[in-house]
Amino acid sequence: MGFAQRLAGSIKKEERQYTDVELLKFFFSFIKPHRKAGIITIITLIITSILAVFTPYVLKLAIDNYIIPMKFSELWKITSIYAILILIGWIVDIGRIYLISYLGQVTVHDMRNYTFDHLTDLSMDFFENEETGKLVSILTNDIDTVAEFLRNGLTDIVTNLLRLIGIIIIMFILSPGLTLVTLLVTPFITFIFYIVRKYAREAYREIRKSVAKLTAKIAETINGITVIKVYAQEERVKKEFGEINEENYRANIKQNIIVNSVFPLIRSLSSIAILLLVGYAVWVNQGLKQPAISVGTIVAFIRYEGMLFDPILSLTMFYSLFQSAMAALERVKRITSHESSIKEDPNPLIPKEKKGKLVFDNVWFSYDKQRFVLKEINLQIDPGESVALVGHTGAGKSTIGKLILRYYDPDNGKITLDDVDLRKLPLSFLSKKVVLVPQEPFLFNNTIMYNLKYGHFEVTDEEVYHVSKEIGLDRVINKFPQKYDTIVGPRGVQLSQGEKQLLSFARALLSKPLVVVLDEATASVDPFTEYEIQKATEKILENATTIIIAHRLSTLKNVDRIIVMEEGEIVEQGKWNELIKKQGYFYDYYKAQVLSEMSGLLQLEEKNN
Amino acid sequence: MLFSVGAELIIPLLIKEIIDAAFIKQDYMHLKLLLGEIFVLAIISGGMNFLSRISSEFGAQKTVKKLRNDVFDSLINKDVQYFMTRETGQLLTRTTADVEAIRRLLSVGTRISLQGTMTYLGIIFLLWKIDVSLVMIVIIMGVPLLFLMLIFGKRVGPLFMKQRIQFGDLSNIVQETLEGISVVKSYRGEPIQKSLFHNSNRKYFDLQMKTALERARFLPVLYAALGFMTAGVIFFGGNAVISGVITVGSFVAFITYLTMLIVPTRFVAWFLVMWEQAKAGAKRLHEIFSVPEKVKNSPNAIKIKGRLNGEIIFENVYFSYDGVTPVLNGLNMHINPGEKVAILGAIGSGKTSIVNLIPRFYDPQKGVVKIDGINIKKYDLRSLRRQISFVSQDTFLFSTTIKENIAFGKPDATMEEIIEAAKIAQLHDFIMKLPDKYDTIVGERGIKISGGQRQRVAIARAVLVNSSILILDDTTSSIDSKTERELQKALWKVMEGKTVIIITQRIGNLRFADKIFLVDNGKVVESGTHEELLNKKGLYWEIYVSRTLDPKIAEAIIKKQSIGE
Ligand SMILES: Nc1ncnc2c1ncn2[C@@H]1O[C@H](COP(=O)(O)OP(=O)(O)OP(=O)(O)O)[C@@H](O)[C@H]1O
Ligand SMILES: Nc1ncnc2c1ncn2[C@@H]1O[C@H](COP(=O)(O)OP(=O)(O)OP(=O)(O)O)[C@@H](O)[C@H]1O
Ligand SMILES: [Mg+2]
Repeated sequence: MGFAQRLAGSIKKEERQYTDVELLKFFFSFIKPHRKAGIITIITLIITSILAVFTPYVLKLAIDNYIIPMKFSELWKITSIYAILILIGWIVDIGRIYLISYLGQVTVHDMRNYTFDHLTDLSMDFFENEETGKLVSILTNDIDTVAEFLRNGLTDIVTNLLRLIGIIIIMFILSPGLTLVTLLVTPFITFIFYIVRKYAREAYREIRKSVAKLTAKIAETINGITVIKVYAQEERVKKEFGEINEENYRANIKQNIIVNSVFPLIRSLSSIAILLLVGYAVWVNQGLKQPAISVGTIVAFIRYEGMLFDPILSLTMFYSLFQSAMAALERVKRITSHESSIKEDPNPLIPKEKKGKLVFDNVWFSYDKQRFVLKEINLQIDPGESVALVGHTGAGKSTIGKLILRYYDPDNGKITLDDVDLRKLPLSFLSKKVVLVPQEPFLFNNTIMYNLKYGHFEVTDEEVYHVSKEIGLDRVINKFPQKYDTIVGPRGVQLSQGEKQLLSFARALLSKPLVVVLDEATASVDPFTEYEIQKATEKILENATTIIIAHRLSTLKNVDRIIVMEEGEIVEQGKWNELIKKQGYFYDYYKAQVLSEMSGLLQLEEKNN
Repeated sequence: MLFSVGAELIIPLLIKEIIDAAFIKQDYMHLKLLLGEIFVLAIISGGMNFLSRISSEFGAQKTVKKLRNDVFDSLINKDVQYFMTRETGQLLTRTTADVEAIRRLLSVGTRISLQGTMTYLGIIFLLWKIDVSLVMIVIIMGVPLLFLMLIFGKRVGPLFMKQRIQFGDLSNIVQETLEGISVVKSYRGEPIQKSLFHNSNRKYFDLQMKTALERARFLPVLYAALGFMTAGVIFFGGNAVISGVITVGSFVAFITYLTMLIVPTRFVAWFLVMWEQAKAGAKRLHEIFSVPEKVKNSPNAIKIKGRLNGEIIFENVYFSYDGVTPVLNGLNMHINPGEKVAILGAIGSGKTSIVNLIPRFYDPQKGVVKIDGINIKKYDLRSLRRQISFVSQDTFLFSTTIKENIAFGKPDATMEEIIEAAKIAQLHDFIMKLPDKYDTIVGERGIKISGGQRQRVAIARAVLVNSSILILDDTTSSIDSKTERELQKALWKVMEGKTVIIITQRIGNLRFADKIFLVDNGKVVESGTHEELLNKKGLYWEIYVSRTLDPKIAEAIIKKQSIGE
């Protein structure tokens, strides 16, 4: 009692989001397409079950009809029948094991694909709020838990239920009285199951959660390994990991105590049932010359009783796996029922002319619905125009880029591309025409060629070489022994930061965009290379609408228009010379840069003006 | 466990007695006694069973906990290079799923194998007592089975290994897709990632089916064998009953015992599978444990107490990441204590690689790096690193609060110290505007704050630890010029008395530097102060001119230069 209370107390109450029925529906939706395999599997299960029920009966016949009446000469007959049954069982078993594996694996295979597909289609806001490691854990560890349930749990349930029913029927036919006596223990069993459901589920949830946390912690440690090492915080990170590991350990122990108390209880109940059975038989037969219940019947009953509890024990096992799978399914379902906040319009429009005119019409936006990051943005960017966004860090420049790509939708107002609201455009059209080169370059752990062609594999090698040459990337690549086949390592860690940026830039150029947002795309690139990039970009992106976000003002000398943002608002715009003359916001940045870059020379410049 | 198995085995024996007593001898006194015994035994057996399960469970879970901690410890101590060349997803599944496979073996596997073995031995012993010749049937059929199972293990073992690797691959694809989700989204890469995942998933499925085939081939043999044994017993045992060699009771007991073998037989099959899976997992874990660290403490490592002076010398340093492509080619550099130096150079010229050697993320292949006149390999690794604040080029933040991120290098920092650091990094005003202030969660890698804000959190983190060497690798690339200027002023105070190395592409900022090193192809090609370098009219001068904002200024500089000459 005290223990149960402690247990209940220590289990954190957590919102249960789905009922078992919902989860099962979800689950069966994956089995449905494999109905045929399912049916054949069930047939094999039924055959094995029938055989399992039948063989003891043959045994009973052997004892009652042959051995006790001493019919030795015919004993071989019944023995061969028995052997044939075993032989059939063997063959069916082969099919059964294979089919069950198939059904389980194919279901889980489909579930994984489905979940992954759903996940990749979700909008960016989802990913900004999730830890990668935890999502990875769902797709791998959690779904594997479901697989284990299918392999080890579900396989047995049909067999065991059939067996249970079959055995009870045969027992009834043999002796209703004995059967009822044997079944006296069932209410206790039901009660045990009821208790288990509650506590085991909680414990399994905790296990799943801690495994996800472990995964996330390891992933983070791997990604941040240099930071951890340089600040010599290994011991602390180990300790933190140890704590999560301890959580996992506790949850496992808890689950084990719960589940393991069930088996022995049911076993004891089984022995007690035998006791009842034999006691009853003796009581009935007491004083009778010709026993009402024959020795054969009792022997068969004891065997049936054993066979009755065998499936019940397996069912508890199933039940435990089931709870574990349900806890895992809850997590899978949470992802798959998450709806993308960016939805494609059911009747999408494609602009008549694809020129690349972008208009922001009174756009307001906030990430957290509390703090507006963009306020009343009104902006028109003409086809082929190149504009620069300048401003204080955190002013909202990158956010503008994210809105153009529809990572988010504005809270108010609208953005149009060639006079069509972005929300009306087909998503595939949008991402084909609009490209963002992000602040932090990301490369896949694959070859340089793969990374350059990513998203536009139709591009020829020649084009790749050409663009690389134009922006000075080929110099870098030719340094590597493997050239374009060099593997860049996870996230591209085997390249220098500037090299990564260059690659990421080239990738954008190769996709031939209509609109391109360069978000500090060359911030870590040296001046010479940057100069080369600039020249090449002007040529390659001649017709594209270009939005450049940059802090190094020298890179902006040639843009058509400079837009200055401050705290989410556009405060100034115009050409380089105009803005310098105006001595407004932009001039401040200019001055600051000149001051730090060429302290002492500003006066000189002012004199020259 | 012995008790619980024993108790369970005695019950059928008692039943035999009951049948003989009640039906053959009709001895009711004896019968009541026997029924009582069964009852007591049932309770004992249940209780013992529970205890044995739990105690083995505790042991197993503890071992696994320790194993996982050990794996993590070993992982975190690996060389930086280790992580540059391994797929994250593979490392993830090793520490989770592979350890899990071992857990299953230890927690369930040991129990069922023990219980199974004991049941087997017990039953064979009891059968022996009932009738020796019948036991022969069991043994004759049992030995070939044993061999069959060994073959089974040999065949599925490698399959499980492949499965584990494929599983790691699967997790790696998810990991990479999520980490690069913005690129995936921006380049409509969803179909690409999906098909990668589907392929990998398909391969995983195929491997599963291959093992399923092996299972289907081998495991039913076990059950069938048991069935044939029973058939044999019916025939020969029945014969024996008829000829009066054994009683009906013995015969029934015999059959009952045989039936009791079904469960442990299933255990054997189950155990074999678990064993092979755990073996595959263990092999993969072994890889983590067995890769030796190259960067480690030397035998008589010097623990640094107090502060270093901060003199840094690179002496003819050669370095390559892969041992093939040279990155640093005979680099020489001398930085005096307390000097502020800048390193400049084209992309990929080796700037980051130079500073990576100072906290010993890597060791050079040739040449030495000395701090305060001593080869850094002689210092105790951690105490060396504690002397260094390092802001790396690609900012990494942990997905916790701003506060914890700033205090990462100094967990016991007071709130005042944290705020002070944030103020220096020009971050405080921004933080105070956030609803949760310093407790704002920054998201994975700091995704929920802007690029410039991320960089400044990393700077604040470095400022907070009061080290003797400060390294800033291109840390203002995403910061606007106004903020940068403020930042520089504030940092200037912090830099007092420290040796500072700054890598930057913003060449104009370098007037302050005591020395500027121009690096090309892993070598220093020019060095000196700003003035000296400009006067040289070499590469530095060229870059400087190209970076200026206005042609007029450039002219002015040029004029000034020529006047100076
Ligand atoms: N995913 C997010 N969730 C919540 N807030 C965010 C998120 N991304 C950015 N912000 C906040 O929105 C504001 C604008 O960010 P944005 O990235 O657009 O700035 P920016 O002008 O590009 O800055 P920088 O020059 O530093 O890159 C910042 O204050 C930032 O903290
Ligand atoms: N982990 C690694 N494994 C293999 N090669 C690497 C690794 N890291 C860097 N390199 C290579 O070493 C060379 C020097 O890289 P480094 O990062 O030192 O350049 P950098 O001067 O800092 O350049 P940037 O200005 O672009 O940051 C590059 O050619 C790069 O590709
Ligand atoms: Mg670098």
